[in-house]
Amino acid sequence: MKIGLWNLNKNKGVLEKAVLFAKEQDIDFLILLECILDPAEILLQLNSERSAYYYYKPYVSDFFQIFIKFSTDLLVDIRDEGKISVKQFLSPLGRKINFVIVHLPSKLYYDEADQDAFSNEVKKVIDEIENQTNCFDTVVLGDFNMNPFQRGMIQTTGFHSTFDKKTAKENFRIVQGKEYKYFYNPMWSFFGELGRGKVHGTFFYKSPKPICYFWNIFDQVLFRPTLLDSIFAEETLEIVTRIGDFELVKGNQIIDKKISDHLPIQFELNNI
Amino acid sequence: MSNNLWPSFENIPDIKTPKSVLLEQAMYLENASKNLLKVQIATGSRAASGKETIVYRFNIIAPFLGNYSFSLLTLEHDIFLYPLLITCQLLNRSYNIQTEKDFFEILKTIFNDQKTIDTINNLLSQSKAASQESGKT
Repeated sequence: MKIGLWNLNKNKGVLEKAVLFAKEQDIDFLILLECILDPAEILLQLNSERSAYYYYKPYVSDFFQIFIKFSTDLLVDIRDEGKISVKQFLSPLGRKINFVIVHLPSKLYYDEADQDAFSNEVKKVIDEIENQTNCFDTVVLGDFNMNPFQRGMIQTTGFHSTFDKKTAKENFRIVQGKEYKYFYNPMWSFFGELGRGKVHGTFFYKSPKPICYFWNIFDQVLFRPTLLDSIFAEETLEIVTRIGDFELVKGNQIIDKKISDHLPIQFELNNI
Repeated sequence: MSNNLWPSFENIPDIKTPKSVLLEQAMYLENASKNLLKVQIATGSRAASGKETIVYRFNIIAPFLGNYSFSLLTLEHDIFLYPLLITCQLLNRSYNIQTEKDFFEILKTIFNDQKTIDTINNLLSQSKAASQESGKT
């Protein structure tokens, strides 16, 4: 199953690109954040050549739109809490996977300390739904508005994600007598000139302040280690920079904001 | 001379706590929904900026939709009941509340907002359909 995620930055003129992204990449599970397009119009365009996609209408959350190629019966709403939405995918092969879709507070409104503190709220939701559903195979994806190295992504009381697969596969660690489960965060591998892909992030911001990272990886996907060996096909993870003939990143390495200020990401899950 | 240095606590003031108000409102919603919806008031604590607060979450649960739940609002206060902070994630609004009277007003505003009504109606319709399908009505 191929999963695509894109924050469309509330752009009304992005329909054609969003549809082309899904079709060209053959996305099975399309998640569009900050999407103000009419879902009926998107669906019409997605199915213009052949009927392939369904619109997944959530019970409550409307901070994203989902279009899927599989039956809507296979995706079940579990919980919504603000901009945290949990769905469970019921694989025809019998496996269950929790998908936690997030759009966390922006740096415009929350400083880093606020974001770090808020990550604890998301952790609580994840722990609760894993226990409630008795399913610990969890994927968290969305616009975190944090870089992979920010404390909220790392700390035990936040996402507790690591870039080291070997460490993640230890499943948990104990700090001050309390057990904290790991997530594996593959997004680290896009950093640096020798990192994977053509760009170093999904969001570019040049600030006049003393500290500036320029490229930020706000759009991320995290995996519980149980999904690493046979489910997550890491080599397929990609930050998409081109849709059809259209380059999303201009020559001077800046994301074309006429489309969106975020780049899409995509990856595949096998054996489900 | 007595060794007890404490004053008397016999006259405990008879006040309605925000949590008891939420529990009462939870009961009203459950009854109005003919038990198609349940409400859970989850209790927790939050430590931020050197301050610890008690947090209550008003979670609406749809048992016929696989126990799907969504959080309508959170309420938090420190060891004093007021001021309290209500955050309604559904409406994307926060309220700083100073008095019990204002607390009731804000709850009424949130409960009667069209988006809240539409959301609950949506859950009720789907729960009703699911309950009829499963023959449990």
